[in-house]
Amino acid sequence: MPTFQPKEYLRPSTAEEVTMVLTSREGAVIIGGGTEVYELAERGLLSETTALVDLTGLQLDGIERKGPALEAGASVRLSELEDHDAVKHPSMGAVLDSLRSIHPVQVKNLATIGGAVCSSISFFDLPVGLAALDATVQVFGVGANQRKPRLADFMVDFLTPDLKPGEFVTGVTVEPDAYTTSAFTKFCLTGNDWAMVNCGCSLKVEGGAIASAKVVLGGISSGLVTAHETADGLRGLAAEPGSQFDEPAERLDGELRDVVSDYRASAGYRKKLAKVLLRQALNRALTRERG
Amino acid sequence: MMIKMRVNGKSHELDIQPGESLNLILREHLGLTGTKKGCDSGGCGACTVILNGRAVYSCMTYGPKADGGDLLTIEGLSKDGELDTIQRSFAELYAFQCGFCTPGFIMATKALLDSNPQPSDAEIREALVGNLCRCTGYTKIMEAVRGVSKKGG
Ligand SMILES: Cc1cc2nc3c(=O)[nH]c(=O)nc-3n(C[C@H](O)[C@H](O)[C@H](O)COP(=O)(O)OP(=O)(O)OC[C@H]3O[C@@H](n4cnc5c(N)ncnc54)[C@H](O)[C@@H]3O)c2cc1C
Repeated sequence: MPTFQPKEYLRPSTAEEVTMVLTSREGAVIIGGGTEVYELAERGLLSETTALVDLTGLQLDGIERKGPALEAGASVRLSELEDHDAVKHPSMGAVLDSLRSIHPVQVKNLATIGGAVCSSISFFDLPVGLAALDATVQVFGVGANQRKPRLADFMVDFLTPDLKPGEFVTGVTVEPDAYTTSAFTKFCLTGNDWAMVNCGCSLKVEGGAIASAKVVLGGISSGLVTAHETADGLRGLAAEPGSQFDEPAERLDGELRDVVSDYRASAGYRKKLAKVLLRQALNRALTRERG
Repeated sequence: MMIKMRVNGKSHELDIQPGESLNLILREHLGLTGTKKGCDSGGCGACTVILNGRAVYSCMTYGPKADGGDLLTIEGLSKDGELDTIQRSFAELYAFQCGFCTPGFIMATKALLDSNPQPSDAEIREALVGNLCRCTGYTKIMEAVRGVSKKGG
């Protein structure tokens, strides 16, 4: 007997309507592509769901450059973002790599940006790629109130995005111009597996050296990890692939707290992986920059 | 709720429950059982169909998501009793044994070749990584896909 039996499927056409539905109907759940909704429903976690709220009518499906920012709507599918010219610039490499590492294509053809970030699962790939580019999340709420938390803060805990009653996500913004190159790496066991650990890094290269950097890791703890000190330690290093990153990568340890130990990997193994993936991501980003 | 969709060129209006999967709709409402129900959890690919030109798992596509959509299933490939080139290649090159995964592999291959008629081996693997075969193995399947793309099928 299926426990997931929503009675209604609602297609509001304005953001205000979505908010109203979310606040007035108990058990209303937003559906993007539905791939994670499906996974949750199969595990019996959505048995209280009375209505699915589809955002397609809001036409949140654009990918647009607005000055230095790149904005993508919550309903953009992962395969559409992957195919878009906007992610082909070296500075967007972390986003492109993260999309390319998501398998299978059957899921990417359904899954949306909104669903990927609102699932709030730290080992999902796209959030790590986006957060490496300082992504913020566009949140719409009661009274047409809008706010833009950083994605790394928005993903508060496992399956717990920073959404208050009535709030939902309309899109995601990244700042590609802050960096000249970026990359993402992932470790998983099969071609079709979730990341055990993944890593995104963005670099601004000036005069042959790293002028600034951002390092984000997923799969380490229940939220995303932004490794500020490690990123600071990269400043001034030669902007070419090489062993100069070995030492800063070793220092990652100090920034990896509450590291998960589970049936897939021990905390110690995850920490080791993080260092390897960071070095790989740095080398990949710098190789990319050279064309 | 009512949804409309075109399946293999034919329009349908269907009364479904909002939580019903496209897989259930195809198999139970329309009797199109060529699309298999395998793991039913997005892991095996046997349920792959093409929705609006793109391969999706029908098991995790909620029916309302296909409302207004154009759907192609394995039943829509052969024309006038003649197998489609991909089906023929799988048959001629022995790319199946029990055949349970075959409709999913063929639909994933169709979506790939429609957008990229001459894929590299890496591109074929990438497109088929979400489809599992537990008896033939993948060598023959790769040969079958290469066979079609060489013929320009
Ligand atoms: C077989 C399989 C393989 C996968 N492999 C990978 C992989 O390799 N790498 C990877 O990173 N991920 C992987 N995933 C996870 C996949 O990326 C997510 O399932 C997907 O991104 C979720 O997007 P969606 O649009 O389908 O979300 P949905 O299922 O529609 O929604 C997910 C959650 O977010 C909420 N939500 C959705 N949109 C909004 C919004 N706009 N505002 C507020 N709340 C919202 C929903 O209510 C729900 O709680 C895989 C999933 C499957 C099923």
